[in-house]
Amino acid sequence: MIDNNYSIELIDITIAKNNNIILDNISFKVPEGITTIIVGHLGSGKSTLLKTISSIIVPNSGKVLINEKPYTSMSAAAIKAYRKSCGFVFQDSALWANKTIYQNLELPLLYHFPDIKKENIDNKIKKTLDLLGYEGNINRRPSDISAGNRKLISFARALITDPDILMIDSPETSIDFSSHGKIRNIIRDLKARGKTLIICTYDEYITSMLADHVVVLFKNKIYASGSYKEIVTSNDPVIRRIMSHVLDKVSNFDGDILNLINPNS
Amino acid sequence: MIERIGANIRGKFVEFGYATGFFLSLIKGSFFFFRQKHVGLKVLMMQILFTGFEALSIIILLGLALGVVIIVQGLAILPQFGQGDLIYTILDVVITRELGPLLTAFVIIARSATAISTELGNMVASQEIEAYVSVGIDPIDYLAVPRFLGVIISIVLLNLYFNIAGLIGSFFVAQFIQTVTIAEYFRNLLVFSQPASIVISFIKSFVFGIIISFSATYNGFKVEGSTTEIPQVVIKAVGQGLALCIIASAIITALSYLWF
Repeated sequence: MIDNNYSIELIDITIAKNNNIILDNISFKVPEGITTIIVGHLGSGKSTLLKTISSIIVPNSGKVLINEKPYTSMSAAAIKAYRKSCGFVFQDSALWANKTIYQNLELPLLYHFPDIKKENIDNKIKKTLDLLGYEGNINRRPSDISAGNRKLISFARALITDPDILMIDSPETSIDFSSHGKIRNIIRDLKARGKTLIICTYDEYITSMLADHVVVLFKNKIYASGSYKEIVTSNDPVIRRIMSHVLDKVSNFDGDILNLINPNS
Repeated sequence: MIERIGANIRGKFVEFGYATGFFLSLIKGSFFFFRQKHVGLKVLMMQILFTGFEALSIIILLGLALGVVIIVQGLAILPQFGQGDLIYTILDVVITRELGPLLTAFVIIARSATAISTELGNMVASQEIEAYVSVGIDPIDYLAVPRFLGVIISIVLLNLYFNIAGLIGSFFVAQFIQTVTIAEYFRNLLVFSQPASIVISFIKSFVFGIIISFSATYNGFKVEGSTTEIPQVVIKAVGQGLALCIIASAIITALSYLWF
């Protein structure tokens, strides 16, 4: 189970860019220790919501509370401790282009553990890459590897400090079929270890098999938020349309829906 | 119309506030930079290597060329007025006080300010800055402060090399026109030049370093997400850097005559 609890709560968050509202007055408390899936149509603000939850984006109005304290009023030390416990996987990987793969993974360790020895860094990087099944050259730059491998390295960078909270933006983007399976398994393992996972995804497997809680975004607002069972059994036409990819899988599933929701039960 | 003018003025105030906040963050970050084991130390070294070391050859060449121009023109004109010794004062004023720091600043703007604002702009557009935030690294501390310090350290050193090259270059060219021993040349330089020139030259290069690195990093971070914004911010960084350096040079020169 997680050893360092962080409660994250959004209060009346509004984000606009060039007079376009991206998130409209959103309030939401992230459930701790479970997997929350954010779903919605293209352009509904899923990635922006995820970045706001992680406080990468500062909202135009409203507050992000970390352990009931506004993020913007936290001390540098408190922010550093929070960031160490909070990993983020970007949709487009967002690796540091001027650094090698090794340096991309080394930097968070050097920052959070200033006295760490080189052999410990090497071990940590090797262990994390082994977990993801990355076998490429770690001395190459991101531009020299495939988009799928960049995504894996982005996962590795988010996992390298062993965070308690992991936010993943579209884990299915840019990766091949075998990497897809590895990432699904890693997410399943993280869930089993009681990590707080917040994922924006269209992946019906991740949603149907791993979601505990689902947030439905519609027209830049939270349209519905509830347990996976509540959302997937809802008769609301908007929810059914947004969740159609998952509902198709559920309807094609030959067995008890509760087994699908919680395959280990 | 009035509403648009009002919004524009309000926008300028907001931007001034951001710029002031950014500058204060740079100062604060610089103050604490060497006090702790900092992951940005490597970035600082790389910045000094790029801005300070790799620009050395062009700076020395410029210094030598400027020294040659001054000595050739000076020795051709000044003796006609019986003021041949004024050449040393002119060397001191032009190379050490005025053009040394300014030309060094121009080279740094052309090489480093453009590179810094382009690199940071690209990092914003490709979400690399957000990635730094996501792992807990403050982009100002890690990316802007080492560049800020690196440019300042480099420009002060390059200005020194520019002065040495300019004064030594003058000596060698002087040999072709009028035989002067090295001892006599430097004795004359010491006699006719003012110690204040060295102080003013140092102050100017230090202030130029602050201006150039601030405008380059600030404009680089101003990119909002599109790569088409990058050339625009680079142009702004260069324009602001040039204009502010020339204005600062004029102010420091004017103040120097009041104080020294």
